[in-house]
Amino acid sequence: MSACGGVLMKMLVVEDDPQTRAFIVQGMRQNGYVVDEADNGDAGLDLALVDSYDVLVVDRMLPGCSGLDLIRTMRTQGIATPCLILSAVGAVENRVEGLNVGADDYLTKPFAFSELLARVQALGRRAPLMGQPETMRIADLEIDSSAHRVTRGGKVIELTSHEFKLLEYLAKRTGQVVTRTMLLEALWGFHFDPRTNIVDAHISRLRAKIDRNFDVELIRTVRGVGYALQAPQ
Amino acid sequence: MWSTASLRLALAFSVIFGLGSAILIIGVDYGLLRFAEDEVRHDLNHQMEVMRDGVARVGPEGLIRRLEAQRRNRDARRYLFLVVTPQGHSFSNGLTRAAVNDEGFRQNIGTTKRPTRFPDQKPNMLVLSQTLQDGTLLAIGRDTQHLDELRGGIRAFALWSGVGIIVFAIIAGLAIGYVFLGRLQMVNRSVERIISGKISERLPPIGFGREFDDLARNLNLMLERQEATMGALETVSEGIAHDLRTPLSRLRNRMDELQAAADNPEKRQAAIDYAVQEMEQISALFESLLVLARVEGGQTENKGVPVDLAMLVEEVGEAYRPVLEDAGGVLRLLPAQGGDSDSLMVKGDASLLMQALSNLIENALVHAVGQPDISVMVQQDDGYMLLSVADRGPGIPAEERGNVLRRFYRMDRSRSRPGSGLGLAMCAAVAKWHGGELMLRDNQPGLRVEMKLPALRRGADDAASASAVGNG
Repeated sequence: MSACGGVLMKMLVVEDDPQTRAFIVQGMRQNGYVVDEADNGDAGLDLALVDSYDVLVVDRMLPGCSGLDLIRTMRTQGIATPCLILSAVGAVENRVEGLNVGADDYLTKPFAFSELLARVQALGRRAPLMGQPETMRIADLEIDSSAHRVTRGGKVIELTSHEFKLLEYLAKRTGQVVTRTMLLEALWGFHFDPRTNIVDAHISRLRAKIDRNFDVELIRTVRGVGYALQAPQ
Repeated sequence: MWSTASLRLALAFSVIFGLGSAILIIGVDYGLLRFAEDEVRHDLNHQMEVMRDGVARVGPEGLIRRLEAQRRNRDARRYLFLVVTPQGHSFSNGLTRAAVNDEGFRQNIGTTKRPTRFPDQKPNMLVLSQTLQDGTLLAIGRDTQHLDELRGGIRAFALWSGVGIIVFAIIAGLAIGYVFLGRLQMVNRSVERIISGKISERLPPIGFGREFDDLARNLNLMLERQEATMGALETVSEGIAHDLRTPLSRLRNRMDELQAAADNPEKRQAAIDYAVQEMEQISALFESLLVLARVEGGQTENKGVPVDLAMLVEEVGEAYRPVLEDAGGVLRLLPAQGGDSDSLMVKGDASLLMQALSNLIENALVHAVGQPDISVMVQQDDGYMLLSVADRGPGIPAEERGNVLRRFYRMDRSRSRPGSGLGLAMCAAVAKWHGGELMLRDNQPGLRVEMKLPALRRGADDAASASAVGNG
């Protein structure tokens, strides 16, 4: 198993709670990551400054220097490694504060491992996202971002602007699991958990247009986690 | 009363008074003595003039004769004379040559015998002498005992009045301290009672001036704020105790099921799924409680970012449209009745407003009977924006409308439906936080919830409006 297209990903987990740390480290290793760990901010910062990692998962409240300080210091040293903050406080202003010091994502405890994994994978892939071509192809699905045009098997599919944004978001993360929370945050700006299943309703609409009437389903449901847009293996 | 503070105050008083009176007395002492001494010098100068005059008229020998004649004169006995003629004749009534300069003033201490009232004291004497052109030495001295007496008198007066002033200062200091510190003590007792849990207690006025009363009043305002926050927290803790137990016990049941179904993979999976669902519900409840506590406790400040309500309705509404349509319902979004959407701005927190609107829409969805029919609307109303969500459900009877805004309150018929009982309470808190209010109205049929929010005033900074909604 490998984390990301056959390339080994190296990550650092800085978390003071031993159980949470063991849970994350074990899960990440099972998913093919090479994981280093630290149980306090100072040790974490030392590792982050010396070694090079593909992604960092940092608890916000740590003994020694805090998670925010760790990321701030790292950024002032010119290290751009993607960082995800884990935190027990999830208010929007705490989130904004985290992103302001240079974190790339923010996950509130308690979290599902699948949520963390999806976000870490998204972070690990962030860099190449920039250089993505205007036209994305997944099997016979073609998405032209600049023309807002979608075809499948050569046939033009009409999408509303919301549906297009949803498809584009999935397509940019092709093969990768995208959780409902990620979609809610990115596409609707909901930083809270709505009781109704908004995302599922939107996905089923998109499916009706993209996948219905075609032999192969491209939008795959990942049970209990989210969705992935993926060409069949 | 004999507390150190009181005593210190009194001592400080006495030091200040003591220093003040010492300075005053030193000044008086110096001035008075100078005046008296000047008077003596003036007198001696005058007498010297009379003697010179005598020499000029009758010659030195004549002067001696006159002085001899006056020896018994009572008036003349105030002075001591020494006259030495160039021929060596002299007159003295007690003044010796040794005690006399050739010229000018000399202060003699204890050098002459003297005719004074205090024979036992060594006399002080000021002597003025002059040598005339013909060589005659004239000298006249005067007892300065009265100056010493004056000095002594002033010193004694200074000492006793100083003691008196200090004693007075200490007594006054203690008295003022007693009253003032007594008031402070009352305030202190009051604070102690508050600390020990009587949070409804308020501080008495301290008195002694506006500043002290301002202090007491501000402390009371702080206490009021504190009490409100504590009250909010208390309700939250009660709510947590009450409402977290239910999902926790359900979670517990799922775990038991899981244990029992160890060898039935299908049942196991179902139990796990349920357990995760319960967990998520607990998390969501917890999150709402925190938001509610933050908003109601006033900890989050309204930093006042301009928020475009038309855009908010559009974004949140469109997010829910598929959900409604899947349920066979209708969603109507009605921004601006006749106005341009530019003017539908409020000052506030886009994220909180989004959550409130989402709560209202979900409420309408949950309570819909049959196919949901929900209208979301923004209107201007005399300096306010009305953000309303109306449904065609069963509505809320007028007498229940006050209750449903309370935390965790759920009408009997809602108990079987999903929800935490926090939705409307949170919306009300969000509206209040924005300086507005939440109103429940009859939609005939159905419920119409209106959030009345103060409109963003023209000219206020609305440059950031477009970015305020959305990617919070």
